[in-house]
Amino acid sequence: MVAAAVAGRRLDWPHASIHVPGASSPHALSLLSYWDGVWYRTIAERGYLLIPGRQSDPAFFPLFPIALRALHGLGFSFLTAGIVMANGALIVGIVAFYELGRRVVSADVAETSALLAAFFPMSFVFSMTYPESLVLAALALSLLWALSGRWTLSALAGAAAALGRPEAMFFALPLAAIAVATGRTGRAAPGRAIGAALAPIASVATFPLYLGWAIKNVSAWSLAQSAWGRSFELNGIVRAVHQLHHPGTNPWLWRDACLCVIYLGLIAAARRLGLSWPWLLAGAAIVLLPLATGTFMSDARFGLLALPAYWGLGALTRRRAVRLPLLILSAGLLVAGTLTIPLATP
Amino acid sequence: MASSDSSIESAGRRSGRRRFAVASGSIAAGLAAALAGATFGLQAVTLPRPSPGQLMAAKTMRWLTRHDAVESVKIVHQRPVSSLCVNAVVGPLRGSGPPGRVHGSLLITPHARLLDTRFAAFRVGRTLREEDGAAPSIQAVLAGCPRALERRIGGLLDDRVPVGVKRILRGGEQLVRLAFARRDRGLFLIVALRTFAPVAVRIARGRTGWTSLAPAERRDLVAPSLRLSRRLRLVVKEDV
Repeated sequence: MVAAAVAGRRLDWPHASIHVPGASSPHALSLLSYWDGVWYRTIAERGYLLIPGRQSDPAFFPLFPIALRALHGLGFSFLTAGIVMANGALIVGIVAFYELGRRVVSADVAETSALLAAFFPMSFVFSMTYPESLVLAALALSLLWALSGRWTLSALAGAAAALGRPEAMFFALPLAAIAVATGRTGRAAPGRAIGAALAPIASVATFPLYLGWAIKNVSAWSLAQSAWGRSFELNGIVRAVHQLHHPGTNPWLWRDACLCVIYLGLIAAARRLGLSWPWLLAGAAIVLLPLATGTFMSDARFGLLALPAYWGLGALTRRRAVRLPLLILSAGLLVAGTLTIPLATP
Repeated sequence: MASSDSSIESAGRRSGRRRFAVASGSIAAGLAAALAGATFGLQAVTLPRPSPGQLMAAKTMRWLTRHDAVESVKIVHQRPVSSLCVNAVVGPLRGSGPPGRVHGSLLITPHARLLDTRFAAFRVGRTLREEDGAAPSIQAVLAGCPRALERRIGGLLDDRVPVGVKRILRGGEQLVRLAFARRDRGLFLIVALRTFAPVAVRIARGRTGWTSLAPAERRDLVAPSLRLSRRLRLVVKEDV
């Protein structure tokens, strides 16, 4: 994937002079810092500011910029810091997800799922200067530590995940389910267990409070989201479907719509593994809730954090005859996905 | 005797369970609150904050997004010259114009009518004639055109240009002078402290003086000068 990013940059692909945020950097791996990566860097460098009437940065959660700033303080450039951190977190995330899988599903499904998560066609986002890999690592560790009864660590990791992407708070559901299940066995510290389940929600709530303090606007996040064309409405999913057929609509939306359907199908397949409903609900909410803002845009990326989807894929590819071709296909699509970064925001 | 013992025992168990529930709830709430405090503190300590001047400029941006028309007066050769600027929708245009329909500003001065968009500026006559150079967009900014001013201030805020703040008192009204310190695109703005409405604007470059600004009244918007030829109305529409 990194090689594809370097190749894409060297070949000066695509040749058309389309404007891509971040494309002006001469760095060999700058392909991995395009689009929202520019916004995360701006926040790390200059902080938040809501600018009415135009797209502005309070739409982005603060964990990744905070981490970027910390690494930049050690002497790395923002771009290098972002790429090192995203890819380091990806390795931690995949290992933690494998360990989590061994406790939730069978060992063979856990192994296949972790492998497919790393080679999933959209997984190039995990290598980009985006928060997804940090959130994957924090989420997997939070759930893993909860299953081991290490509630304080679980709470810390859960809070970190939700500070990276708000969707992480949906995993409060499986965390609560784990707390209840361990409570029944009588080996739980119920207070800390419930606290761990509440941690992601508490963490998400601090972001608007911070914006209220720093830029004097508690609603800055939702106002900035509207400027990006996202606003929660009851008929949001209907609007999202209609948007697909509007004349002049970005054709890449179909990639997001197709992957949305695939994620939901895989989560449904995960049911066959006996996964309890809080896990399935959390996964489905991650995929479906962004649609309530009236667009499929980036749903393919948001769905990367729907962990049960990978277990569903693992369950469907238990047989080696299916697994190997799928892995090869997935890896090919992953390289293709990396090369198409300049063409469409993931 | 036995039944009284068992009722005492079950009451004790109930109160023990209640104590346990209260203790667990307190620990849960305490842990969540401690983490919320820590995450808030982390953001507060690590991330830079905008300056008061940048926040005031952002509030002026909000005022501009909520207004469709502004009238302005500037002194030229010791005489007041007024102009009116309204938000407009333009397009589709042929030739090198912007694709599709775009938002812009229609500026009416005593001498000319000008159309300013993100992509290009046009002199409005019987047809639209594209204007070269930065002068038309500077003219639109100086006339307080909401969209042109929004674009200029927004660009400066995107780059987090330092904004100096100085309180002034004019005609008994508390005003604030905002100075966007940028060598090539500096801007001075006087805004009302209460509403953040722009009251006057000046561009640092060149020898331009202050232009006084005020939101346009409804009667101004039906002025004959705003009426365009039928042909032009197909491509330029007021957006009020």
